[in-house]
Amino acid sequence: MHRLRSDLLYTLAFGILSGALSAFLFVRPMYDVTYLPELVLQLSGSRGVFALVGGISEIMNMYMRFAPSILFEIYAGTVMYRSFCTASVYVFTRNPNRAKWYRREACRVLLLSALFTTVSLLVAVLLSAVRHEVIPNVPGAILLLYHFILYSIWTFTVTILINVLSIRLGSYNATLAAAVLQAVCIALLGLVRLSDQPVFAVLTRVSPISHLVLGWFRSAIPAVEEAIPPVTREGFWGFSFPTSLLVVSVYCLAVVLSGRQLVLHHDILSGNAELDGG
Amino acid sequence: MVLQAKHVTKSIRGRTVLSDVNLRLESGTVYGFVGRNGSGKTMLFRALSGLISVSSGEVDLDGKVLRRDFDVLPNLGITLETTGLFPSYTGVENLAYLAGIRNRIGMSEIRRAIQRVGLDPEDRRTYRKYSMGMKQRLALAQAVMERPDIIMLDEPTNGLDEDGVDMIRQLILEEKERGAMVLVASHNKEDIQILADQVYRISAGVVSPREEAAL
Repeated sequence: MHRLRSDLLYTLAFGILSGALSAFLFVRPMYDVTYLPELVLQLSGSRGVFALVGGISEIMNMYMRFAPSILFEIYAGTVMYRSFCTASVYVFTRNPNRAKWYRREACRVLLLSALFTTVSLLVAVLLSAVRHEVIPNVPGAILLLYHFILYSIWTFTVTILINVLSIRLGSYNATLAAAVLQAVCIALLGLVRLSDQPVFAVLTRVSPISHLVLGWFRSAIPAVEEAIPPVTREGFWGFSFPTSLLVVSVYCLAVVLSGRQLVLHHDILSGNAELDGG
Repeated sequence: MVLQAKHVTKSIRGRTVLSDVNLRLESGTVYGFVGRNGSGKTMLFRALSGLISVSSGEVDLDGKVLRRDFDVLPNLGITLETTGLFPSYTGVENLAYLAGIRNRIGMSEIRRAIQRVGLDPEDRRTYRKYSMGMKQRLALAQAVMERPDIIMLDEPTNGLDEDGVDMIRQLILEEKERGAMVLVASHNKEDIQILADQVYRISAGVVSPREEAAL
């Protein structure tokens, strides 16, 4: 209980920090008035009414946008791993079913990831509403929901990845690996410029971060479609929410299932994995 | 309750750390394991408990196979030499956290376990401020607090003063009387002579029975 309370408090703090940074750094309405869809698009990678086209400044901007999430992921990346560090022998001899333990811990990480995204979004929208005039509407609410779902899943995926990699590599190397992976995926956004060539189109499509840029979406819902500025790249026809949800979920499932296998078969050889080198 | 190791071998990175181990261990008995540092005593406890998988052979408890029917021995109490507890928690908080995993005992049993090993449950010092002997006593308290059926103690009297050694020996004998199966690994021959009903010697991962007189 003590552990959960402490995790919730830290998550709230990271969520507030992330939301405040997003509101101050990335929400810039043209005439001090913004519609909710435009605000959500700005929070998820687009600049103003322009879709992210893969320029260096946009990509650097995207790195900045992910910085608060990475801070949270570093913190929550030890939620499971902590049990492998201190008192691992005493913890795991009291858990006769490791799969059940993993399931419970993964649910804890999912809860924290969803809470982080919720708080971050809420704070960003509320602070923006205080600083500028924000006009809410239905397409905005739908985009907000898309943003919440996709970012929660991705944050959860990276956090689980750090936890399970830490068991093998130690927390420093695991965090570094996850940060590099995200940096590479963000850099791949630049390939959208070359998406008229099949190989780059495929790379853009398989990179999970591409599916977090809501400005690149097309929608079957007319009001939402109207709210998203048209994507002008030749050969790039945009993503849809269902396919992006599928892509991000596949990555998530792959990480969660690999993590389960690793936890089930991991030999607990040291009293403190972090101090004894795993 | 019968715990059996059948042709258990464990290799790590090409090195055999346990070699064709065969054991039959029963409740209400204290088993002593002697051997030099690095001989495989701790590794044997890890393999018997389920903390590590074995490369070949199997461990079973009353016919149920470890790592197939369960991941670790159910109702096990264990101390291993290198394992610490949470440094920022007090003794009671550490044990309460661990007891919360199984949720079988309450605060009164936790306090009783701490008293049994000669510590004060009201002590507000955190674990990081404990002396080596106090850490050893707290580790033993966590091993016995839930009245486990099987207890594995790795060098249980290490770092203890004379009174502490007597107290822990008494505790082990009480657990045996209660009907627990107790496995004690020690390089202290006196511990083994006083406590063990059966003694095994471990050398380079090979476990062989040894008569008490030969100690």
